[in-house]
Amino acid sequence: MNRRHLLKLGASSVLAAFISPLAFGQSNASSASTTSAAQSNASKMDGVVSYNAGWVIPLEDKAPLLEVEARKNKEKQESDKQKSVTPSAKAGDSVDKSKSLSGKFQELLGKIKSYF
Amino acid sequence: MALSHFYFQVSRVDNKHMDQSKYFDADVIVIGTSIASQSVIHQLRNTNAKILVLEGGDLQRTDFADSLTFSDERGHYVNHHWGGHWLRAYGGASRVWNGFSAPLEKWDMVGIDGRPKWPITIDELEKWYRFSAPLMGEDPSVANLVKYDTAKLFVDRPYIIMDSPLSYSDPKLLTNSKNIELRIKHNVIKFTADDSGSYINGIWYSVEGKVQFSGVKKNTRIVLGAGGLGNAQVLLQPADNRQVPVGNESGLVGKTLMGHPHVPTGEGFFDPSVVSKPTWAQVKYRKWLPAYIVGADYKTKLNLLNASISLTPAAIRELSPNEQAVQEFYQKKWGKKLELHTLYARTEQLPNPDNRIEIITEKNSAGLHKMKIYCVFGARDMMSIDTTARMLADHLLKNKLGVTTVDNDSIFLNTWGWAHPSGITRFGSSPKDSVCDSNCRVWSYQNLYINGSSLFPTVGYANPTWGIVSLGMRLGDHLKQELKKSA
Repeated sequence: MNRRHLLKLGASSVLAAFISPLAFGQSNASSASTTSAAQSNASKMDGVVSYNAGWVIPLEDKAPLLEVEARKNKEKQESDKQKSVTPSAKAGDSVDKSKSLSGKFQELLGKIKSYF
Repeated sequence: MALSHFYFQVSRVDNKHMDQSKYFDADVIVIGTSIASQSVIHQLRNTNAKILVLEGGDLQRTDFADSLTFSDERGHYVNHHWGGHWLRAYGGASRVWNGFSAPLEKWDMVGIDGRPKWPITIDELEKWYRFSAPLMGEDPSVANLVKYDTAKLFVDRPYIIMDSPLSYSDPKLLTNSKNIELRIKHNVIKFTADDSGSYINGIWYSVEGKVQFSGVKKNTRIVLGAGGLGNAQVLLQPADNRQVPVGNESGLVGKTLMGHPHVPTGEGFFDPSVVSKPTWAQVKYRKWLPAYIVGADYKTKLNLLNASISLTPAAIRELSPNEQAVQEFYQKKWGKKLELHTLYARTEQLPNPDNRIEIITEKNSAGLHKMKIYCVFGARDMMSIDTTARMLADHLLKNKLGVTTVDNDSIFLNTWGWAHPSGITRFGSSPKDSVCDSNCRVWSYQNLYINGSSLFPTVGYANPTWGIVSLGMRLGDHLKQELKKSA
């Protein structure tokens, strides 16, 4: 195939692109009816979504709700931090004690296991 | 009936151990002492009818009697589920179980979507709901819940919490009546029939494991009320002298077993009006639980089974940030206070012949072949729960009444059964598709009646106790009329 053939092919395809809608195209009226049929067969969308943790909410509520949730999460983290400052020291003592007991037991168990 | 004729009939029963001189002398033999049987007896108490009551258990629960209700359970109802809902003791299961009851509706009974039809109308059933309500300790107005606006998308149709009256465990109710004789520890095993197959002429039973036989007169009516499973167990026991067990001429005994799939579907924040007492039915409520069902027209249109979703206040706990956010957001958006409740679904189970009981070779201590029970949920059972939950979520949201979760994993992985055994000796309008006629009489026999939830062609979404009592009273009334005619 030489350059001349390629030019001919290009010209004919451009011509076909112009002619085909005139030759095979549909009128505006038939287009409208197709649109209406397509609408009746269209997927049904009710705008309700299952958002985080299974809550069923309208789609438009999703973004503002996520903002409120982010704020609540932050508040929770901060309150957890504050709570953990003083009482955790006391709790830590008892954990340490229990750890020391359970640690001793684990050590003993490890020694016994090492015999087998 | 001449005694010689009676002996002739009994002698045809094929068993050499039979004692021909022994027979039960009664106008009506009632088998079982459950709330079903006591409802029949209630209607006959003030007549001259001689009533013999045979109870398999003792006046109290015993290990021996408890062992009789064990079965090989296959499917979704496991861990002695069926046996745990079925007692061999005076008063039957109603001694231990009360019910979140709700009446059936017309939609349940008319054969929609391939379900079997009930042979009676909702109007007739409503009449017996009304008569039987006081037996359940309720005001007759609770029967007003039968009829509602079927065009509504959702109807607030609460459960009536019926406590089983203590009198059902007190044998004095029967023994104080002169015309009633109560025999405990009499476990009925099976029936024998005359040669023409028209009458029951004998009963095999056991007393503390010792098998015995008694003849039955042709004009003695027998009412089998051995429980939702026990009725079919008796009618499936093999006969000595015929291929088909006596009572299973239809071939339907033991089939279409139904219970009630149950599952928590989620939680939600609700406007207090959602859980307020319904006023549309003019009911004098005693104890009730808020619940919603889909209206009948929508159920038909959407091919749903009858499911209900009830609401109970959630346990007091610290809300997660996610829950706090949802509550705060919608309280602000709708400008109202919202309370946390949990949602719980109960649904009818489609009558499926694959869900059934069969008997096995091994016998229990009373001499009955033990049962193997198959009962699984179908796709429609579970999809009906899911669709109802999603529709309710959507409905409440659009009406600014609540925001809910619909928990997929809970619905499809954690649905469990609630054993309200129903449907395995169903009544109907034709012997081609039912075991009993509209008067609860086994089609083939003139003197054998079935009583209890095993009659139900469909099961609705609620505990069957109220329906059982209603049908029991209706049967008692029918027998009363029959006895009058023959007197």
